[in-house]
Amino acid sequence: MQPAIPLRLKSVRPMRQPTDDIASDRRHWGVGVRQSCSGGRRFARNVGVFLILLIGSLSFAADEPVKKKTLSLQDLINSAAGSPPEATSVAGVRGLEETAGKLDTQARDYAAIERLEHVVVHEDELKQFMDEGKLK
Amino acid sequence: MTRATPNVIPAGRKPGSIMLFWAPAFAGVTAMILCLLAQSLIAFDFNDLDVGKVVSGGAKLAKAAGGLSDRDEIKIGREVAANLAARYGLLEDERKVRYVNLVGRVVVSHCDRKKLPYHFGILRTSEINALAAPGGYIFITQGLLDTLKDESELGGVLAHEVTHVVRQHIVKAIRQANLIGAGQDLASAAGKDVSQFSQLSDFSINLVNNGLSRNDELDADKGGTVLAANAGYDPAGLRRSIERLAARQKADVLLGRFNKTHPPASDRLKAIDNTLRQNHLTDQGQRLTDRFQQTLSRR
Repeated sequence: MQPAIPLRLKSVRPMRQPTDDIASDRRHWGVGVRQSCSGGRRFARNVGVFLILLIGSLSFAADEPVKKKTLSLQDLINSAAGSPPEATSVAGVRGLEETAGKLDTQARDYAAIERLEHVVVHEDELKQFMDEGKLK
Repeated sequence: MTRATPNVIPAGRKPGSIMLFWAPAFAGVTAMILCLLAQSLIAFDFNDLDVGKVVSGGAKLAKAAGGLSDRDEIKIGREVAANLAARYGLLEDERKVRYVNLVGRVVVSHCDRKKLPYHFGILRTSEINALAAPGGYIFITQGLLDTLKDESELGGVLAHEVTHVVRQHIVKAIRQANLIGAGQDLASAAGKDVSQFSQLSDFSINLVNNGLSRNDELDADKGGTVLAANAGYDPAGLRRSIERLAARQKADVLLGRFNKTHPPASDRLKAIDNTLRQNHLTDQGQRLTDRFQQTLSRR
């Protein structure tokens, strides 16, 4: 038969009641610790623990030395743009020494694109090309 | 076992109230997470950025990308294409350019976005790569063209790029890139007058040069393989071209950007093999080695 557990939800003391066995004693300690705090005090205790941990963590973060070079967002965008330039020698095409530099997003050659846009494939030419290659 | 419960939660006490006992522990975990966030913010240099402007800039850019019409997409794609043309130069050999356009049009005639005015160009560079700009501007480099052996390989490469356009991978990336969109607003924050259109163009240029996501690349491999097969080409054309590039030395400087902007060849080959198997694609299609060699006769 379990002994009756004295509940004192709002009270602060007494924390312990006389007990007759070890299990019951433990139980009273556990209940007592929790019941010793009223709702307001419990909340205050939790907030206190939170603030201590938060302040400690932030101060740890602030003291942590930053070893890497700091990057701006634009640096991150451009970071993968170029591989190290090395000379290549293929006739008729631009080598990496000309093209592997930093990406210039403002450069434009509209005339070249206009010439490309004038390359028109007519339907009959396409059909002949497909027929010759036995394509679908 | 059943008698243990009353020892923990006394009768008359709300079962949920035991959570209050763990509240400090939860608070500690929360504090640690906040600490990590704070640490990353401290390590990151925002260049005295106006956070409000950056956030609003990202939102505006995402909104703009979400509502991109085909016309707007073509306009942005033309900017990207003009940038690539300025950077590398376009090959003006009419015979070769027409041939690449014919192969490209064969592939396009089987895709789900036929109405776009596709243009296929050859970039004058020894670098090995192929690129797709929004709106249907597709480019293959002279360097990559030189490594291909037959028309089915060219068809496979172009089908991969057409799939990027059909599935609007760049538009999707613009839509999802609130962070980079906010980064682009750095110029506005610095007082420069940069229009939203040029922000989108710049972002797209960066994206085309730096590469799409791994998933989008694998998606284009799968879609491109099926598309080339539907056009009547050997469905393994794209696979062979990737396998040949993978056999080259990894340190090959001409493959630098290609390797940087694409997933590892092993992953790509695996994805293509799965696609071939799942779609029961056999090598019954055309390779057209002779036509390819004769048209691009420089070997």
